[in-house]
Amino acid sequence: MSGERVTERAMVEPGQLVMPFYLVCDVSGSMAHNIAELNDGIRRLWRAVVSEPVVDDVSRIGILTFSDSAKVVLPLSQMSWNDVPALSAEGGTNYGAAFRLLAQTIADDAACLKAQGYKIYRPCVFFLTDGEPSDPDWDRTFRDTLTYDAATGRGMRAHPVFVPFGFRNASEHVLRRLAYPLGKGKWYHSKSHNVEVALRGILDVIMNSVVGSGMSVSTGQPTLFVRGPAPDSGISSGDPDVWV
Amino acid sequence: MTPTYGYDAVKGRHFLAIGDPGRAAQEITDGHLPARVGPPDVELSMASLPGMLVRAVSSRGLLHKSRSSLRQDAFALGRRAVRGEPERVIALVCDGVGSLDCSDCAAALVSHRLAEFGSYGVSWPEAFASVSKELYKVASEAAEADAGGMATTAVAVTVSRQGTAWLGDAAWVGDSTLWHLGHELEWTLVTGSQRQDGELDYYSSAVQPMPTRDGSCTWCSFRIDSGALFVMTDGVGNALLWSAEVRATLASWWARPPEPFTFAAQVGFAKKTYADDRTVVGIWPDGIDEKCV
Repeated sequence: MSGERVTERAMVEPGQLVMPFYLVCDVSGSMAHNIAELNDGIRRLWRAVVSEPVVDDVSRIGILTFSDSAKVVLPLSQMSWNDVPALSAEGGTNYGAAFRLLAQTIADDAACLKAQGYKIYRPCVFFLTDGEPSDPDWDRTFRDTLTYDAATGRGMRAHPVFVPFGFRNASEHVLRRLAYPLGKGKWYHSKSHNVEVALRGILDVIMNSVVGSGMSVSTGQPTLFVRGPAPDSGISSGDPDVWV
Repeated sequence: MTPTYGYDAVKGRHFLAIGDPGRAAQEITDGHLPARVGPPDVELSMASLPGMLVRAVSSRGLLHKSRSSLRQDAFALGRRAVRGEPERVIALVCDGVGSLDCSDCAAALVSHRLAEFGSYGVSWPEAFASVSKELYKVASEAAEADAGGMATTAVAVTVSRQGTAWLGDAAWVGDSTLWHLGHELEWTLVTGSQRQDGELDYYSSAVQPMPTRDGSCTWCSFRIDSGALFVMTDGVGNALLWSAEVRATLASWWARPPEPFTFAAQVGFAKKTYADDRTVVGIWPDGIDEKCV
């Protein structure tokens, strides 16, 4: 890393725009045989962002993993500031642990960026999972931590746009429940039995969404674009379920 | 922090930066010519009217350069001279909506037609209604021919100089703005109120462009003592709104009218995450104004 980049990181420049993206990856034991493909996909995302200076300037990307517990493996930052971490597989599939850590991380990051004078867009979360949640109250935890009920004022007012991606044993029913909010969130489900193909298709959608959204900064009306899957990717997608 | 001249060793050129220029300003090359013939990368005009000096610049943003797409900002200037009345400057600035391919056409059409209406003395609400209808027709025909969509913001200003005061009318649709730079080097937004989004959770950039459903616009009359006026798109307006460093730097550069080509370089200043097209029409008092120092 050059000395110039280190200096740049230390500079606080009020008024700069920031589009935050969070990649939340399921690294439960079932991912053990596919962790290399996941790491390759994240490295492709890194290269795609760094090769577009306009996108790299405006986007900040954080990576979280979850299994029995959750952790931040790459704090929210400009992609060119860091090398991407190598993920490794471990444990179960506790969605709730991921939701709680994600909500806290988003709140902390937003407070930190706002205190420095940055103009922040609503964050977008890409949630990748290959299985069903092992925690029975995952939907209540999701609702309590990452959604907002304007009528009662309960939940997270500064909620992100939540975009779940499922493959292998992930349930479409669960993905539909996680896409949020109505009108912005989308769910994606790969039916491919080839996990490598499924992961490539999913990470292409994420990569195109990050780059497309970052590019929109040049229009003066930066917008979150959650891209559709490639027609031959075997990925179905749709709008969120309406919460009752 | 003072403005700096960045230097790109690969391209062998200097550029003005306010703070961190970001990677885009340092790494994006001039790029290929756009596939469709359109406006030049940079457009520059200058004029001198009784009591007023005008400098106008529109400059293509970084991503349009990297994507070989056209500049979608536009400006137009006009004048209205009526016997027995002070001469007026007509200044139009438009920002084509970037997500629509032919918005450069919308910005050019709207800026020129509104400037013509202004120079004929048509009121701004009447002019906006007529031009919105005309743009709707052109946009519909283009859409039917699969030529691409088009829409634009617009801010229109008529202003004359009376003594040391600026007297005029402004009308607008969307987030292009009119600013006043006072003699204490303070910036004041003339068109509407400054958005106070500090209490919102996140910034949102949605704007209402032309053509509007009912052809309406927002308008105001103003009388402002001394200083200078600046009509601009959000490529500069947002930076001015959000960055104290940009406000201080532009105030120091533009307290007096710069040499036109210097003004063009200043409008194109580099600042990280500000990659949009830039357009500014500056109107300064001509001659000595003891309050503008």
